[in-house]
Amino acid sequence: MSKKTLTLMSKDKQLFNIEEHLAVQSVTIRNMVKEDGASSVIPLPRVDSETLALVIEYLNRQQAPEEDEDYVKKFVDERGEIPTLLELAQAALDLDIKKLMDAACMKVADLIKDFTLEEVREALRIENDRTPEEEKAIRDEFQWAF
Amino acid sequence: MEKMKKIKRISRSSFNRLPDEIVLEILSKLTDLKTLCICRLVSRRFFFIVVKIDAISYTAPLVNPSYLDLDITGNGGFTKKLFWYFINGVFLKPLNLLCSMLTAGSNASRPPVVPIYGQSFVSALWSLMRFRGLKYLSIELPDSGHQGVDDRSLFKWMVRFGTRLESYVFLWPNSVCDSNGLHVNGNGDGVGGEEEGIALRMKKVNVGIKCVMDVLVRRRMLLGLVCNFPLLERVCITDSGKRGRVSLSGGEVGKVRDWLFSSSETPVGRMNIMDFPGSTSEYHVPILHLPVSGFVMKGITLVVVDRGNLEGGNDSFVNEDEDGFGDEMEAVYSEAVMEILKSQRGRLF
Repeated sequence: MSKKTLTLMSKDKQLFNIEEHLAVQSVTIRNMVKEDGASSVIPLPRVDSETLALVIEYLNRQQAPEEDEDYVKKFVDERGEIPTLLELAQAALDLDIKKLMDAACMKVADLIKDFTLEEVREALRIENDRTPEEEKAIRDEFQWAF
Repeated sequence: MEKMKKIKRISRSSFNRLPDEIVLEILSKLTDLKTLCICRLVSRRFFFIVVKIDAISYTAPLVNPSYLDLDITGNGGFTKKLFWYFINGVFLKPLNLLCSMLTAGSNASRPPVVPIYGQSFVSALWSLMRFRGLKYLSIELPDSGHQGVDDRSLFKWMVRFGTRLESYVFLWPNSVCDSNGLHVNGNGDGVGGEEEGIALRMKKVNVGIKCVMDVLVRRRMLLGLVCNFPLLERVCITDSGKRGRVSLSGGEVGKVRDWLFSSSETPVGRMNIMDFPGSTSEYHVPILHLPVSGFVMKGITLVVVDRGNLEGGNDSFVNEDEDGFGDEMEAVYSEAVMEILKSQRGRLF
């Protein structure tokens, strides 16, 4: 019996093939397969091709279960750039791959834990939506933390 | 190429808004109170996500705890008689003093803290109060800096309590060697083994009593935390020197919470009850070989304050309180306490 292959399509319309038994580590894909057999292409409108390639690489890993924890950690460690990790975490969230999302978020947390306020904003791509007065009031409350 | 990369990054950032789930997932892995408070400032959205965090740890900055200024020993020499007088009688005086510090201006909305660890600590605890859904909390206090104590002092204490203080155990060996005869914690200055002077003994017992202050302050703080965080499941207060910790977890937290709220008194009234055990024993053991761990302790001073229930065959004491000493030496210290109580039981000094 030949192994069944699924096709995933990234936001920028690139196609990626992956064996079904590996793809179903994603709970999202597993549910799709259960529902309609997922014979056609599965579109992932929020995941770009660069990130999807990483996810596919992760899903294709050939690790013994007992080494899996270490592998996931190393996998995200090697892609230690915050923007990449955030994309990866979001893709893992959409695809419901808990281990990968956990590891990516953990790594981001590790990287930002000693950041200043401005650095956190920049790293997590958040715009300050407060007026200077509002910010000052809150800053005063948390004076001890600075 | 470099430019392409840059453009791509900018376009990513303008189109992708990090979903709340991811933000919460990242923030919940930070756990450090200070970092979390900085994150609350990031944006309005962050502000509301951050308060959902349920596990926090906080390390207090180094300050000299101000209650150490209290002269609890008096000026004169610290004789054995005075010790007993102190423990069983005069003890109440510093306790009352301490009590008044702990309870000054008590009201329900006040943070569950005492001003002993400095303004920054109080502010930090105020910030902590914002996390209403907190389930797991650990606080590390600075070393208490008791006089005559340095990094080479090997004492630890252990306290057992639920709704009331059951027992307090203080163990200070002059030296600890593992089974290979190697000194632990680098204390190889040869003090151990010698017949120790009365002055040294008194100093050690004195520190043991000062640590009771640590215990009382921490327990009061812990009760305040249990009172203020309705979902708290595990809470632990340690110190940077790993001298001892007070902690509650699981069903114990619920029991204590019920007790705090179950009377006509206010919870604060209950918290402020300093119902300290009345029975004190002091042991000095020149050398102790520990059969299980293989460690050897020399020049041990042990102070036990309890309700008279540690004597008389209560061997389960150490096991019940197995997380009492909280680091890798835990088993060794627990074993030493058990050994001494076993062999010296009933022989009070």
